[in-house]
Amino acid sequence: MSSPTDTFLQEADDLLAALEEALLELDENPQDAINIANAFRALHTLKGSGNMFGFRALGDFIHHFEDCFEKVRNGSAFVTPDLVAVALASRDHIAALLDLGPDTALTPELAETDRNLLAKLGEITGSDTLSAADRPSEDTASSNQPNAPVIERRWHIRFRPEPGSLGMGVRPDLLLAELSGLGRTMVTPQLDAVPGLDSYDPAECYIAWIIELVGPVDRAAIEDVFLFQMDAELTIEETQLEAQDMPEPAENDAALPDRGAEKTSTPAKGQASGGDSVRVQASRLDDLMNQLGELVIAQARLKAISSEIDDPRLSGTAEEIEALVTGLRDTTLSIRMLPVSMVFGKFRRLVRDLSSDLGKAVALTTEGGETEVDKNIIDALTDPLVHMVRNSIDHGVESADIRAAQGKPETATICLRAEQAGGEVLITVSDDGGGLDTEAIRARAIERKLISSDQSLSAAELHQLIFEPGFSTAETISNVSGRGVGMDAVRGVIDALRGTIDVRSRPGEGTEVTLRLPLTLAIIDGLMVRVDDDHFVIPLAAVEECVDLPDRNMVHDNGRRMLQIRESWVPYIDLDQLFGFGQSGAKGRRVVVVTADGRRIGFAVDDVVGQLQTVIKPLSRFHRSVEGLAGATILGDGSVALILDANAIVRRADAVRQIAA
Amino acid sequence: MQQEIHSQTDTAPIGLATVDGVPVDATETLLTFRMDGERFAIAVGAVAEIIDPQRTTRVPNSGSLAPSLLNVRGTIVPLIDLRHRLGMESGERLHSSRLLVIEIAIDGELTKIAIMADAVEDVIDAATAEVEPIPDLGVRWPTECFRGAIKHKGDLIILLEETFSFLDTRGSDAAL
Amino acid sequence: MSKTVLTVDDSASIRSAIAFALQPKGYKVIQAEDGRAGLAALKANAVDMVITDLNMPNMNGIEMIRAVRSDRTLDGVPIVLLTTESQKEKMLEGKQAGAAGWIVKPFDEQKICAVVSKMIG
Repeated sequence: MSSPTDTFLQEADDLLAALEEALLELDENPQDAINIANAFRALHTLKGSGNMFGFRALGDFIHHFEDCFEKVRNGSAFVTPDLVAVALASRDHIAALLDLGPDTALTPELAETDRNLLAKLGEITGSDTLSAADRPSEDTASSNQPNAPVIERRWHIRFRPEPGSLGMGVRPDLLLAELSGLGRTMVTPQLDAVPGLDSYDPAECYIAWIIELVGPVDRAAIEDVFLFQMDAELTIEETQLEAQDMPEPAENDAALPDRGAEKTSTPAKGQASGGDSVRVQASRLDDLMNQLGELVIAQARLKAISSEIDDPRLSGTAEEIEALVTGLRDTTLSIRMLPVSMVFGKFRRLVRDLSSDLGKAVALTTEGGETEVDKNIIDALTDPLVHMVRNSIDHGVESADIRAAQGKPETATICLRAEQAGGEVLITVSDDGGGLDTEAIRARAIERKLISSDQSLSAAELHQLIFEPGFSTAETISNVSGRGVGMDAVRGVIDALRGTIDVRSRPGEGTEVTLRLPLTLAIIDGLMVRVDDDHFVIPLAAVEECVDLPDRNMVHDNGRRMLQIRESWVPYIDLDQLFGFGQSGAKGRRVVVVTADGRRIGFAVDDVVGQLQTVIKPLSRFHRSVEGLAGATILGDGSVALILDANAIVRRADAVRQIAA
Repeated sequence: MQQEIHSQTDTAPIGLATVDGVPVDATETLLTFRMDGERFAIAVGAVAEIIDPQRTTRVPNSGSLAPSLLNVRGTIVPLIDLRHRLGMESGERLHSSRLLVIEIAIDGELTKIAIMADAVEDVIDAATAEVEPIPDLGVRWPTECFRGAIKHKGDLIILLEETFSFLDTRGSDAAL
Repeated sequence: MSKTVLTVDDSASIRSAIAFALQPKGYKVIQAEDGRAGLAALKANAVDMVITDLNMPNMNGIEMIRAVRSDRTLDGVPIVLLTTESQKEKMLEGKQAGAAGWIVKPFDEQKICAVVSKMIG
């Protein structure tokens, strides 16, 4: 269980995100009461919890921030673009105060920001605000310590709970017990108001008590006992202490309506609730995943040993473990899946800030935010997407007058879209800007010596050049687009995730960049095949079917071999030739039909060995750039099989054929 | 067989031949091994482990620098064809052959590589000051791969360039 | 048998602070993140006491107290409000709806334990 402070920090992140979301909504719909309430609630909760966990400066700041929003909520101030801007800056300030940590004094810079923001907030909403930095720091957290009484005093107390108090759960017995904890008491119940049974309501309290209390007690301590009894009849009088009249502790239970006993005898039911969720540190998920990966490898080893030994008891157990590991894997993977909207959500602020910085009107739309992707991919995606969106706004979207001249709507649209396709997730950033300028790209690529001046490249090849290291440099990038990182950084991340980037662009109409990413990074179901003496794994998500490769029944078509499967002709690739292993002489070869790049295509192999779970291990830097490989996996006997990337193999085969043609 | 070589050079890594350009009196602990009859050495600290040759998996279209890979305790490690890189003939696997698993930093990322030695010989201490330029051999071998040579008990030992920066990770594409 | 306290708050950190304070004293703590969930938890469990926030989505604290007080099967469970100093009028409203007491935020472990033990022993 993480500590409450950790919980608070996690929660504070969520609340800041909720606040930002609400503010951005308000920017678009300034009178949206729901979002005013949402912003207010986020602030209120942050303040309450912040004070609880020692974030005093934060609590103080939000207190005033909240006052300003209270004005908005009750209609005496209005949401304006200025207010949203200051509120967003205040949100950032709160984040900085959180970073500062609990029980920490403000730095001079933060104090300055604190003052400025509150002054602005006050100005806009017409509130009086005073920053924490200006106020003498008073210790509001200190509780009022009652003065320690030392002398014995005698009190005469009369207490009659308000009639309906039993229905609110007031327990006079506990109050009396608390009083008797303060000193010696004598309790006398007054039963004169108890009605007859016909008109008796068990939720009503008809009894009053007179308590004689002797002890080292002051009035405040007694009032504390009756703290919540504001509507009860209560008199507390000090009387003369008489030595001969020391009250003995009273047996007072009999006089009390006994509710407690029956209540606590009810067995507590389990707190089963299907919608419960638990927060887990990401590193623990990673640990779980790593250990699961090792378990899968160990299980593969067990399976190999079991098939060697061939004892039905062992093989039965091995199969059982395999099934359990599969279930455990699926559950673990599903825990790691998060909706893409977690990334998309961050972009509203970015787009808003960029569009105002650059003076371009840009609207953001998102689609498919519910698509789920492995957490590590989500984490890695943020930076590349930020860069792509920046690039779109900075370079893609034209200035307002150009847009007007071309009859485009004044406000440009950037769309973030996610969808799942087979074992991949496609994430697209599209804009309706000017499109990539292929001539400018060409000129720059020549200038950067990425291509020679006589090289002829297709538009698609030119588009890919923007991802080359050294293509974009500081001199062309405005302060918006980059701090020394170009689109090559985007490609680096996507490569590391074993993904690919497609670019489609039409001059004057816009650009669409699509990232194709695997759904998960760690463990996949695979189909093991043999090519020559080597084993390879094809991700099962890509596999459609396996068929025998007949000796006849094939045609050559433009350098590609075709195989008839039922009614259709399917092109296939000889993996042994593509891998440079030489022509296979094997008999009874098979074809694994996969879907790659949206097409059905066959991979001819020497044998299909079977299905297995594979833990994807990354390839070293020496092999990462080898096209067609998605990683490697360790087999039950400790040897390594390469995992094939069906899409990349098809692309490679296309490239090989083009060169051969 | 599996011998762990524990680094004794933590305080004096092999790269510390000079401080601010001034040579210092330092000794280095080196592991010597044999390839194609020649004696080579690298810093003991760089060697993660020495293991018996084991089954490797060839990587199609990966070029000649790192044509295959293997599993070293759950990590996929490329087997670097150092002979090829140094311009030597490819060799047979001998009874005495061992895999040296070496940890190197490439662009700040720690990466394990394996190289096949005909035999692992010795751990020696050598004075940094005694490292000399390679005599004459420069003509035959790519000099960027070497840091220099030392004389040890009458034998010439060639020191590999310690960062292995002569390994180009991008790999060539021999099949195309 | 240990007593059960239901904490209803949209802030997980407040809920966990309460759980942290009470669990070592032998109380069982059930958590709910808004009034609606609180009401459901009350119906599903034998709850001895409720500590609820005021301002929550779906169903706020006052609404929840009213719903509890109008449900004969839940009647009688003590409900304590979590309030801030600035919510005096809310406190009164809560009182009228049927809250038995209140705890002013920020609170510490001792305060929570003192109030709970005052309410249910």
